Amino acid sequence: MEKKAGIRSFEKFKYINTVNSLSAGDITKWDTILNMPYERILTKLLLNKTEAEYQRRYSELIQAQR
Amino acid sequence: MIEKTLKTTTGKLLVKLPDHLSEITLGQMIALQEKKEMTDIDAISILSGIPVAHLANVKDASDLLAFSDSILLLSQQITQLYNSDALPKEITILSGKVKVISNLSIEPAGAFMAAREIIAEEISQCIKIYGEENWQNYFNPSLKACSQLLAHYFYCRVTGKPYNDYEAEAFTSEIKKLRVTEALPIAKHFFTCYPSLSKQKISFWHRLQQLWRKRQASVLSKSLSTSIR
Repeated sequence: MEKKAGIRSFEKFKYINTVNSLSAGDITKWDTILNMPYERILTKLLLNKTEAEYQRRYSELIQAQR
Repeated sequence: MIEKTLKTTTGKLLVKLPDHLSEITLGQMIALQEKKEMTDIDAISILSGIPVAHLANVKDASDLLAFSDSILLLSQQITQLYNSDALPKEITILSGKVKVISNLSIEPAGAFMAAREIIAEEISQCIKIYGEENWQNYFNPSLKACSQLLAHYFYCRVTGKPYNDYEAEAFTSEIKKLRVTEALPIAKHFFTCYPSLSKQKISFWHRLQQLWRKRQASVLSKSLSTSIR
């Protein structure tokens, strides 16, 4: 679905996609993020991934109960 | 450094050519790698910093043959460098010394992500050519990619400034001034050991070895006078 919608067109922006996502689209925060220790960024990315997985599972369980 | 004053059609020309690898900069090596169908005069031009047009004015082309031994010696030294994993303890850049061996992490996050993209791009290009299964056997990152990676690694620690992606990229111009004997082992380290990339046996330096072997053969076999004209 994402492929069909053209998610690959974002590939050219490379790691800026990650920076933009972490800054919630606020360009004024890009430099702050770029200057953080990488370990902190990695932790946040892992947290986001864990949260997304949890939300997906939770939604699936709720739907299954209905 | 080998020095020789050559007679030209307009006067005299002092040609200095390195006779040790430590006298060659990464920028010179990049120029050698990127030059297509390189002639003897091209190589001497890159290594001496003298424009080809000036070298073409040398009256007796066989004078340039004196540099063939130097180039042969360099090719032998570069083979040793490629086979070595020894990292420099510190390097000199922008007139200051920077410790390397005690701090081999690329920070901050911007530098890390940019460096990772450079490595990923090199791998991607290699996969396009050799396929998913064989790319590791042919992985030869370009020296240009090495210089870009090192620019991100060194930018903050050398300048003391906050990370800025544009300025870090522009810092490549300083990286190109590094001695090849210092720059290549550090770049090699990041390409082989970088996080999320397993340490794989790669023929990282083979392309350049081939280049230097070609140069060696060329210098010994070709007549300089024919290649100049």
